[in-house]
Amino acid sequence: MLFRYYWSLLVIVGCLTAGCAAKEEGTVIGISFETLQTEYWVASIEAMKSVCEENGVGYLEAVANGDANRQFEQVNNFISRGVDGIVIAPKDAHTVIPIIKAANRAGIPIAIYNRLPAENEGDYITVVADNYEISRNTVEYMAEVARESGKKHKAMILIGDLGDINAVNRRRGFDDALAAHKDLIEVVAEVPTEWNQEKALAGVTNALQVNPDIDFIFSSSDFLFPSVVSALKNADKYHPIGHPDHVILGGFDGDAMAYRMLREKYLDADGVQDVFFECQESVLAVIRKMREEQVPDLIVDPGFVIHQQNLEQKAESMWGASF
Amino acid sequence: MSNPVIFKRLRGQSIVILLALVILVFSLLSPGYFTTQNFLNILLQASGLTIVATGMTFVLLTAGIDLSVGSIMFVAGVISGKLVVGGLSVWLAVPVTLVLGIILGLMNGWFVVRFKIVPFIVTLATFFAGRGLGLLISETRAVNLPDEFLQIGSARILGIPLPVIIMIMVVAVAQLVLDRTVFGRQVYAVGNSQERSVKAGINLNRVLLRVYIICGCCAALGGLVAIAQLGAVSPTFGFQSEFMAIAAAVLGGTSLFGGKGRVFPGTLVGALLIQSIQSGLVIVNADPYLYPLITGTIIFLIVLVDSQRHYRRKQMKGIST
Amino acid sequence: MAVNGGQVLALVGENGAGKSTLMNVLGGIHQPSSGEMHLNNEPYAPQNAEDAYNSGVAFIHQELNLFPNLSISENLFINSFPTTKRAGLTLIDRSSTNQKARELLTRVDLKVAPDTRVEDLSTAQQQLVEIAKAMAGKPRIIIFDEPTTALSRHESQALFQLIGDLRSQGIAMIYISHNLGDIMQLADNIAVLRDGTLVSAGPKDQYSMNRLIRDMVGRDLDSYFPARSKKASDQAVWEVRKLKSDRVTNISFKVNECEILGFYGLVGAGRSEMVRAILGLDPVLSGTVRWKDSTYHKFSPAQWIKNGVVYLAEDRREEGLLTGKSIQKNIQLASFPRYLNPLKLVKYAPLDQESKVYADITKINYQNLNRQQVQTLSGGNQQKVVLSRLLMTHPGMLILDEPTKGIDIGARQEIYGLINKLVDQGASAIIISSEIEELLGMCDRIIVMGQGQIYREFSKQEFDKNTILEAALGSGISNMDRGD
Repeated sequence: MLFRYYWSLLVIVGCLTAGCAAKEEGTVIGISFETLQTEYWVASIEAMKSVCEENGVGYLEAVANGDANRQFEQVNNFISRGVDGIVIAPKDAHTVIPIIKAANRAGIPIAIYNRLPAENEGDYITVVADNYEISRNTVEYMAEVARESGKKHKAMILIGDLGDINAVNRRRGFDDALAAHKDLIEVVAEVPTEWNQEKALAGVTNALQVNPDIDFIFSSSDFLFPSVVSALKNADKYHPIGHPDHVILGGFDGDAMAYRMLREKYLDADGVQDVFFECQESVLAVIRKMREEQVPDLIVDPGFVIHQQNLEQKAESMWGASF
Repeated sequence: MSNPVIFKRLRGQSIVILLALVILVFSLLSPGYFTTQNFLNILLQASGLTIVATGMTFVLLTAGIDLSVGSIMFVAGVISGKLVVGGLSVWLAVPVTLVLGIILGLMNGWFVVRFKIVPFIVTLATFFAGRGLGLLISETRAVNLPDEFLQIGSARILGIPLPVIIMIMVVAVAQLVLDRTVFGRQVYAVGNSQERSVKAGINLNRVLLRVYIICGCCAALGGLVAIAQLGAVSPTFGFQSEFMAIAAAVLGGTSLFGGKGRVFPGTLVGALLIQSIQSGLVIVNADPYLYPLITGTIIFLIVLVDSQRHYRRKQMKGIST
Repeated sequence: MAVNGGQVLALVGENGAGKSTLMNVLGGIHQPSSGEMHLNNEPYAPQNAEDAYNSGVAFIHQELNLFPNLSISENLFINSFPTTKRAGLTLIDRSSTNQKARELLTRVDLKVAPDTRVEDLSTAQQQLVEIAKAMAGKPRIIIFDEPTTALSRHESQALFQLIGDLRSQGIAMIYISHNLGDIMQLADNIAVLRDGTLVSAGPKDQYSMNRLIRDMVGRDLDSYFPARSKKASDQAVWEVRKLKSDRVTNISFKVNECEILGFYGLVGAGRSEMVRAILGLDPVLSGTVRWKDSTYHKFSPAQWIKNGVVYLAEDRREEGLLTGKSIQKNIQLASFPRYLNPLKLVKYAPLDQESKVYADITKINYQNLNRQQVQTLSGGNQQKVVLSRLLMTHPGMLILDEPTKGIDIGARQEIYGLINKLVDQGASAIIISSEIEELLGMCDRIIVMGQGQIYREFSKQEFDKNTILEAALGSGISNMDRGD
């Protein structure tokens, strides 16, 4: 009984959110986001909308608030309203597959933003950052910083939700980068955060308490930095670069807080997903496909590592710098 | 004479034994676990959750549920954070936050009482609305708070962190209210049967309204305590806190069907158990994939032990009557 | 109609005669459309339950209004705790609460500590708490609504004694019951209601059992227990051998074709527990049951239903009926397997037709078979719904636990008739009852149980009320003491 209410409520909410921003004249693209709960997603959807506007394409937007079922319904809604193309930031690698099939059946081109689908079936374009390479390069840079100091280091990583392929790849990048530096850097703590700040704070605090000499921290997402900073402050370990007790810090995403920390010389390196590039590619790929041009199936955003040395020239490509 | 009484009490609290067991196992696994500092940390980290779960216990005792606590934490945190960033004094922000929590709780309670809507639905609506409102106000950006907030979070009185002191006070007052006030006992009565409560002359609506207000207020306070440790309100703040709060209360022996449960030791120990496990797993640097497995196993164990006891008790009762 | 202080007025009538409505008016739950009431020569017009309570009118309902998760004293004072102020907080004054509770418990002669949880009390003790609660309001009138349905014979007698005490304390009482024996024992005056009007009223000596029944039903009941046309055969179709569970031991008995076997015993004698074990509702340690040509070692309700053995639970609200569903749905519940089309889907049309046939056979008093919820029916009609469901499965064996509990005389007789009709058609039945007259009237044999064992078996020739009662009490003295 309850669940029937629950579902009908979800459907109503879903319809309401799907109904926003309708501009149905001319070419229309449906943009479906799993969530808008971090700055990263907001920056992405804003970027996509402006790409649409630049290209004179209308758009519909829908946000599923973390519910895969609702996202499916929202995309079906797009299809029945006759959109010409779909860009989707899916909830996860598996639930996107029926969505792809639905779009294929309707003959509507679809681009998958930010997450690689679990099966390679059907006709779609994926635009993803190379999470593995970017985090590997970031950690590699951090390791070089560590090597320059000549000291031995103890490292900690904050892991994201292990159901998220990106979190898994970032962890893999971290592990592989440090495999070459075993003589110098020992990984003493892996803190699972499930992408939750309170868990991150508790985990970092606990890890610092058992291993007070941790001086190398990689966070799988920038949005966990408030927790890391708070825990470091409590342990009196938050010092800028150059201070003898500075903890080498690295992150992933390229958000506003990371940008500020780079500027204030607390953060050593940050792996940046090129949101502008990815969003542009996603929308353009769909548009090109509509015009039946050739489009590659996979567009990889190589991303880049921003650090103290290249801060000035790379800052303008870092989405957090202008956010 | 006193020994059997204590024993009897302990037997009703399988969770206390389990907490002791968890502490013992982790202490054996890692020398860093059995330290005053670590226990203080666990208390500190559990403080926000415990306060939220305390409010939740009141609602669960009336056989209701409040899914909106996470959203209340978030929206109250965002609004007060924005006010502080805008120049309001931190000490004024605290009462403002609590009042916000009370207002949201009042809204929940009012819909439950006035329109007789199932609490699940009412608070589900508040859950969505609160989060949406918070995201709208914060424009989905983290609200970074001035350092005064962090200072409150890390302040200590006699070596005990302020959040822990607040938590202890909340738990003590809550248990006193439940045990020793007319309202408290009526909460249990309402949880047993709303119909009978009305027949017994209890002002049902007043009791229900109050529990939702208490829950909203506790959610806001618990949120504040957590924010004071984080130093920022991120767009995901408080997400899924309702489940953690319900889990803490239920682990502590509160029945989802109402009328049974305590804040002390129940809910407090439930929250401490959750946090002890989390903390212990980090300290022994366990494989991240093990976390949900171990948490799941422990929840299953508790439910198993409790249902077994319940079953046996029912059988014994059957014989004597 | 009038009640005097220190007297008991018994109010009788069939279900639907208007007793409940009358009581709701007295209790302030409904307002009268005309007429007036006086209490102590003052006009009495309660607007709600609280008015009634404040005027000294207290109710003891059939269903107890207690909170089992709270202590006795908390139940007594849930809305009127004595409080003290401490540090700005208004707290419950525990010692004076317990003190007051103890005083009230003494008045109802319940020797239990006031901080005992109500769920740890027996039903009879809970009833005493309910009465103590009524006493707390210093009532001038106490209204008892079917107080003995959940009590054993012995517990009922203790209650009557208490009512006698209250009478001597000058309290007026209205006593509503279907049990005419109880009424003849208790009442000073009797009032009979039928179809919403007062049929007759007067002192008890003016009434005989027959007149009571005539006034209630509006006609003479030809015979209370309808006759059966067929005699029981001596061929055993049902045989229980050495059944043992953790509640009953060494249970062996047989039931013949076309026979009704009765089980008598005090509450707690193990009768319901035995049945629950046989049905597979409670675990069985050892023993077998032979039904027709098969012998069973393991039991489950589904298996029995499939083989034509049906069970009527004592507590129909909790075990038998979906009270929020329609009458028709409830009747059909056990018969779906016989109405499947080749695709294993339910064929509703013939099923609906047949459920109507059975609803009419059992004479359920309904307005709309497929819309009306079961909870809108009176107790007797609810029981008929359960019976219709059982009959519709064409059972060969009926196991009935307290089939007429809380049901009025007219409906009872109809239910007896139904059972007899079924047995005449070749079925067998086991009836568990706490009313010895019912067993004497219905059964071919009676087995008396106590302490989870069979005490004695009586054949029809040996039927004698006193001997059977003695047998039940026989070694059951210890049980009785506990009930005190």
